[in-house]
Amino acid sequence: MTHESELREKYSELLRGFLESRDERCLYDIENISKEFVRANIGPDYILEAHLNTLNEIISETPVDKAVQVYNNASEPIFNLMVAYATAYHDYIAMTEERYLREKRLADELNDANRNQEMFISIMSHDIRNPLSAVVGYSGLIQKRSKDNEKIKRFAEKIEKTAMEIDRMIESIRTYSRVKKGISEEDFDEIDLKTTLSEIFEFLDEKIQVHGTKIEKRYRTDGEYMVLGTEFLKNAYLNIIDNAIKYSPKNSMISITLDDAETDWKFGVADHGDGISNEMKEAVFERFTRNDKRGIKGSGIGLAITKHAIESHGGKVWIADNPGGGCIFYITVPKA
Amino acid sequence: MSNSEETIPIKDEYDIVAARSAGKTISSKCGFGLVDQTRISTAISELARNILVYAVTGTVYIREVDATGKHGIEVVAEDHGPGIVNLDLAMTDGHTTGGGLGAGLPGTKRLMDEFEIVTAVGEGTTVTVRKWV
Repeated sequence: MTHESELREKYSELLRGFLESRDERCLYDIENISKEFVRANIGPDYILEAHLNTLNEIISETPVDKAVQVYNNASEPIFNLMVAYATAYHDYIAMTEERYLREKRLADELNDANRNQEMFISIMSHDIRNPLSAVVGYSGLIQKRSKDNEKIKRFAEKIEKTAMEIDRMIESIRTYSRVKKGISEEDFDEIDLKTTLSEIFEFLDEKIQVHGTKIEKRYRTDGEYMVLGTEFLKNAYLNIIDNAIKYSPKNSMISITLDDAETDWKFGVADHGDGISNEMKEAVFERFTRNDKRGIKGSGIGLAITKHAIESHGGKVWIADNPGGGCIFYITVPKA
Repeated sequence: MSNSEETIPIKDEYDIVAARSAGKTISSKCGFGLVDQTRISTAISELARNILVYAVTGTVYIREVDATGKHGIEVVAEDHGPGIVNLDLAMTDGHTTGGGLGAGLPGTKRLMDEFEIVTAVGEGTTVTVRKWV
């Protein structure tokens, strides 16, 4: 039985009860049920119909000489219902308005905060990058002009490298803010994950050589791995692979897998680094959290960007332990 | 004819029904029509229910009253419960601490002609409402 017909049935019973006994208790229960009608969003016309139908049934079972009396008595319960209904409805409207205003106020505040944050990031990145380019430029000049003074040359090189590092951090903060803002629909395109991975390995080739990393690829099929993706998604895969190389010992092996997982393509990268403890497995995806690694450069928001980017594509990213030591990063993205 | 008066202790739902019943008898005697009797019953229900919900027990006094040139009914709902901390808020439409819909105080005020409330935190609450024929 639906809630609607259940309430209707209940009211009919109470009406019958009242007409038989004239018990005040029935009126009190009718008053309570009227609040249920408001909560269930059942209109007064529907209730009136239920009232008249029940009343007609009762009248048809009543001797003619008593029918008028029954009819008169029946006005009291319906008055009770309507007054209580109206009072509860008035409350309901006031509550809804109050809630609407509160939610609107919160939404406005949130919009303001987001706008301020975006503005802050764009001003900050612009204002810091300008002087930074001067630092890079002049340290280049110092290196050129310092001729034989190797020490000064080395210092200037350090300054230049550090400035470039700051520049990269600003870039990733900007990317983070853009990914958070959301990716627009026009940015999506059908991409093949296998092609994307080849491009990534080409891009990282020098790093792989320097690090002596060996890459093992195990793809489930030779065919295509199509997904609906954007540049942000490609960067997410790049970031995860780049991390695996960065955090692995030199000359170690990294295994890349691409698997069919029903509606998704499942990508995995297994490294032989120090691994990530269980309590850090989710925390590393938060901003500015880094699995403690001295001497490794990074802004600490790379994985936060990665996670947001993957989730904006309806995907998931998580970490598991590598049975052979180290960890495995998995990414699933729905098939196109 | 002397003015009627009833005192109903409130400790459970049956007492609310009794208070409504007494309210109806007295309001009918005062000369209120059926619609106004219903308004008064509903107001009594709300006041008595508030006692149960917030103060657990209390008392409802119902009496016929006379003022210059008018005749009517007065309902006093008195409890020694926690009192109302933020009276302005409690009297605001749409505010509820009991959870869910309940006509509450603004609804009761709307049903009657006069409404007074005296409350002290830790001492209790007394609500007095009147309606004139």
